[in-house]
Amino acid sequence: MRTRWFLAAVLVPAVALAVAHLQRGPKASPREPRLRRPAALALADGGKLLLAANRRSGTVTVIDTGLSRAVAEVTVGRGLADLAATPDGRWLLAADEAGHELVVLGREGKDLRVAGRLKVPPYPVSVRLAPDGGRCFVASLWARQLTVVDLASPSKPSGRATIDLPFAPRLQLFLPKAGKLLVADSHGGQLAVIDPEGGKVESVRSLPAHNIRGLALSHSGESVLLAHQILNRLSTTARDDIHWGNLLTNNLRTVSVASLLDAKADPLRGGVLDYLGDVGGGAADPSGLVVRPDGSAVVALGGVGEVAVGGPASGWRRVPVESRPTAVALSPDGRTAYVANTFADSVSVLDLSANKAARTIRLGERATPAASDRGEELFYDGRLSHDGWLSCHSCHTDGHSNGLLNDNFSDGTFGTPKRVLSLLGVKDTGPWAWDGGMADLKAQVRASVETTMRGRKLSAAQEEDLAAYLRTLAPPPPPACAARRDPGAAERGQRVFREQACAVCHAPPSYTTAKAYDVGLRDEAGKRAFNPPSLRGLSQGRHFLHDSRAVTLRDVFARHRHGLKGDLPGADLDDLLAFLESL
Amino acid sequence: MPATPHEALLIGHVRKLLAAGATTALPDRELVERFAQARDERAFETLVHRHGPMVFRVCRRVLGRAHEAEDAFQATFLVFARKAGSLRDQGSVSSWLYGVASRIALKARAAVRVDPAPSQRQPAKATPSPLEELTLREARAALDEELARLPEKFRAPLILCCLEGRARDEAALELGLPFSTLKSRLEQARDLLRRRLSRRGLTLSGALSAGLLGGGADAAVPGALAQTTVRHAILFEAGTLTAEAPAAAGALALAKGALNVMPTFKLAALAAAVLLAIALAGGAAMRQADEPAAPPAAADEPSRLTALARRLWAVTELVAKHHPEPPARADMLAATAAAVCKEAKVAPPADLKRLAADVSSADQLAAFLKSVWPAGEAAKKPAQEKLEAAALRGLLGSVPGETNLMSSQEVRINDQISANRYVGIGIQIAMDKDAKRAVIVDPFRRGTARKAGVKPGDLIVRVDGKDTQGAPLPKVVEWLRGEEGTTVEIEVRQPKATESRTYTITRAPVPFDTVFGYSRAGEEWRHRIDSSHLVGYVRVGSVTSSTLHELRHAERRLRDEGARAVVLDLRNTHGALLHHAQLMAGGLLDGRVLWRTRDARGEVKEARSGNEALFRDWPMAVLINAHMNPAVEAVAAALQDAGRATLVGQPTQGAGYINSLFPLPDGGSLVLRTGRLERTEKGRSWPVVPDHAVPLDKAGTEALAEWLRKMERSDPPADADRPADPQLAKAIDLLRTALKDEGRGK
Repeated sequence: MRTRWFLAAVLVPAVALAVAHLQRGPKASPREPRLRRPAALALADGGKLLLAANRRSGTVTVIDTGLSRAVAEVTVGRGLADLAATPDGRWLLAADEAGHELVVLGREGKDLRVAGRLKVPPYPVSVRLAPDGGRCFVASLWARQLTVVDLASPSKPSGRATIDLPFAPRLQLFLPKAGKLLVADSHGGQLAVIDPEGGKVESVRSLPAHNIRGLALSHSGESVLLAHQILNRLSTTARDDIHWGNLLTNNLRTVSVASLLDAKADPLRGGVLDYLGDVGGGAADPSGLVVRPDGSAVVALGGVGEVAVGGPASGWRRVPVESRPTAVALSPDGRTAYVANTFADSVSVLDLSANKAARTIRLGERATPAASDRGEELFYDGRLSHDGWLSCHSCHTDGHSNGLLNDNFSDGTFGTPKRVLSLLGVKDTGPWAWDGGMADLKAQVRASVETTMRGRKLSAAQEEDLAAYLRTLAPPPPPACAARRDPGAAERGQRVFREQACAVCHAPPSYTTAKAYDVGLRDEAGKRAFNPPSLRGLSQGRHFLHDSRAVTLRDVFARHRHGLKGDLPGADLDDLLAFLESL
Repeated sequence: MPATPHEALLIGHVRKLLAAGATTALPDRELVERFAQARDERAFETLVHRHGPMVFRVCRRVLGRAHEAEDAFQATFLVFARKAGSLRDQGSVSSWLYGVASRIALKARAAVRVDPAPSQRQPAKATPSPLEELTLREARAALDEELARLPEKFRAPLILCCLEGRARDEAALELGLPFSTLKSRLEQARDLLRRRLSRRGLTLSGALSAGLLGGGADAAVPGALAQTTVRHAILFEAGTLTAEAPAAAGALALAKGALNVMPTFKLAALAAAVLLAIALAGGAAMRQADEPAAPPAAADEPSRLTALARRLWAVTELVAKHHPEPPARADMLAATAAAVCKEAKVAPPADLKRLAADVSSADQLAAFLKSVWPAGEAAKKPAQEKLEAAALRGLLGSVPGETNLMSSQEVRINDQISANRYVGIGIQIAMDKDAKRAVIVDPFRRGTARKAGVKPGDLIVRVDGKDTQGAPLPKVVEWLRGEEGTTVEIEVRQPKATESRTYTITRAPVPFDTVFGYSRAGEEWRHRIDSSHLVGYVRVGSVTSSTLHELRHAERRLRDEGARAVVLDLRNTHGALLHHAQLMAGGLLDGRVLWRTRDARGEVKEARSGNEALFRDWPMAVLINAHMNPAVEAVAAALQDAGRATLVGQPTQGAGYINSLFPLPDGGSLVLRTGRLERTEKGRSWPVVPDHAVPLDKAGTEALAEWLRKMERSDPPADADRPADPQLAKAIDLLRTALKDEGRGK
């Protein structure tokens, strides 16, 4: 049952019609003071133009690479996450994560205009074109869906198929030889192999990885390169473990396409794992990746404001850029890399023959960041940790969770690994930490930086800023598959929730309470009292209970009988799950 | 016009010398006798002046800051005054003073670092030695410790000749030894020290040991300090020194502390010697889980017996709670009392066991001890110390496993070594007597100085512009030392060269290798054994925080060299903690349970690896023998149980026990057996038995051990001297066959 719903392709009609030109596209201006936060780059006109999609301002900035200057800016949507150009360069596709739309832009020289819009499942975070340009694929994060979009008439994009995914997706990579699409997990280490023709998930591969933020094909087309992180389950967050790269590593992994596509093969066989950081110089948060014609790679290291250039054979050179480099674009001749510095509102131009940042292009006037904006910058800053090995985002991926266990000190002991909690909705879930020992969010932030990341003490202002950012994080919505369920089931499930007195500990509206309870769970140090995690956004959780002993939500009750009074008939359990997944 | 401090010092010295009159020429033993017999103040003063500079140097070296060093200095002589009576039959006074001074200073330093109000949520390791902590000073502290631990017959000549700078004939006279004996003891002492230091992971050469200890001008003892010390010592001996006396409080506390713990120090030292050879599992976690078992001594000074009883009680509590097969408490206490009686040469009471069974608190234990404690003549201080040591020995001996006590300093040094972080420019220096300058004996391979171009034998001419001519070694070291990331400019020249060279060198962590290759090719290890086959060689010498990282680098080098199979040599491994061994095994395996740990409560925990699987897809052979650290044995067992590697060599020796570290009220720690490792493959247990047994005779084993030791040095010996290694040869054979089979598609 559980597997069938996501393997099934659901054909949906186009839910939104292409709308009139310039409906929401007034000209913006680089001179206007604002925060832009570029998140994606695309090149056009043989590399003469560079286009930056801005996540905060919802604009696209047009950069003349010859002049090294932002020459135009257009408002496209509410918050852009990705940008792709058609092979002929006449059309650009932007994923509007905040507006839940795919936006098609027509381009004539430096002029951009909104040509069409398509409503897509919520939180579209990436858009990739099929090589022929006739179709594109849009991955929607919290909806956990991939939409195949027909671009036969680019100004009238239409949804052709929607495919349910078993995880919240982010990056995509088209494998031209096999005609398959790879879609990567946004938080954990899963890869889905998708047959775009049949509109279905062919297989799901699991890699020992999380935070996959670089996905590229080698020039031979025989292997896939992934930039990601690895959290070592055997390590603690003791300073020495971080220092020697025992806890968390930032990696570039090469795997063969053949073993990825063969569902029975070990995907790691014949692969190479390379380490981007080294002792004394961690490489927190690989955030973007391109492969050069000579086989070397350019990896943006978002957490440390650097770019790593090189590869397993030649070793790595690190080039300093500005704050939180993410997207990378390579000039057609492969000699120049453009790197979007998300928090600096700039693009660094890297001369790859000299391995240095040749120029920095400002995207426009920058507004003064608010406390939560500064907090966001700290959240993604690996330099808060010892030697730059990790940032908050390294485990709390984009404020959510990488779904892994970590043996840190926020429960007061080592030797007791616990599931990394999502911070989405964290403002309503105090007290914090698994034992509920932190009454103050700032104190939790402080403890995490000092005893988990082993960094320097934060200033009081930094703690305020980080807490301010965390308070802006909202719980994620349920995936599309949950929304399709019989609404009656969730209602009935709510009754089961009441009958089982779940609300004693998980009291609405936050679905948590301030106390710690003994619910029959015990950690390795003998601790039995746990603060109930909030149930909001539960549908987006991966594993459950403090040590992830429940692999699925169903297991929480079916196997571990968590909090149950008496028997729970199968139908009631189904209803309860439906209710919980609607939260 | 008032005299400058320097002048005052001089004047003071002259005055003292004149006043001291006849006593200045007397030998130490005579002076001690005079003081002990007749409280001859001048005799004591002479001793302070004679040995003061050495004592002060020790204190300064350990404590750095002046006023703390002065307190420790004073305390040393307070203890000396109190103990003078029992010193008559001791060996060298300077050696005795050296030992006391270094212990007091180390203790004082540990005390300074204790957080007065540790917050509840802070881990025990919340302030794990900051990076800058493990500096040359740490090395010297370790050196001091090892010195203190040497047998007296070796320590005395070293201290007299190297630390106090006496001529050898003079030292021979002082110690009442023939010149040739002194000379050979000096040699042996240096050798022993070198070996012990290297066992602690400090790759200090003999030259450095000599250099660090010897050479240089006196650390001038401030005149006022010497005077105060003499005055206070006399009062203290008479039992009338109070903390209200000016500048007495700090020294008084230290002296009392030292007198209280004296007997246990020896035991602690013994414990440390074996520390690095045992696995400490879950140490960190358990240290936090357990508050010190008894409260620290109250403000009112407890009697010695009460203090001892508390300490012993704390140990029995921990044993009862954490030992997998704890002896009955009555048995432990009976063994304690029996040891005391044996030491006192009296028969134990017939109902000892019954008496012991009635003890149910620390206070009752004190009473119980008192009931067997000899009174009268035997109760004098030196005898007391021996009795207390016997009590501890008796208790620890009654607990199965290697039960030991460690001082807080030992715990900390152990932590630092297992963390493998050492900040500096990475050079060993000594004093070149002819040039009167510091000379660089060995630039460490991974030190920044070596990378900058510094050569062995370079004389240091200037450090940051300061001329080193005549500068004492500690001064030069102080100039060289600094925070990580800062730079130091040094001007050096070869002894015969006229041109000097100047380098600006960054201070950085200088890690020592725990992973080695087959042979050295310049700065890098070579792992390929022979160009005729594709087998590479990786040796793990010890397992620290850095080992997994080093294995990753080794894997990359092996790939670069074109290897396709690997021999992992785990023979003769020294230090390892289970946590680090777990990280290492986890790095080598692919999603496997490594082993299970069963603790005293019978609780079983599983350690499961991730999927890093270094040397993925390669045939692997692991060399094992009877000289491995237990934690490393566990790694070999995990590889065997997972079917990942073929084990070649001889059976190991361990029984799979886990030892953990528990804090004690006095700041030291108890090392205690707490559980056992269980293997994952049914029917397999300990010791680890190789899949292919290849014996090696005694001579061969010794030659191998010697070779492996040499390979860990900065400049390993030439390949031609390699001893025959049938175990390695067998492993290579097996791997070549495996590669051939792979080639045939088997």
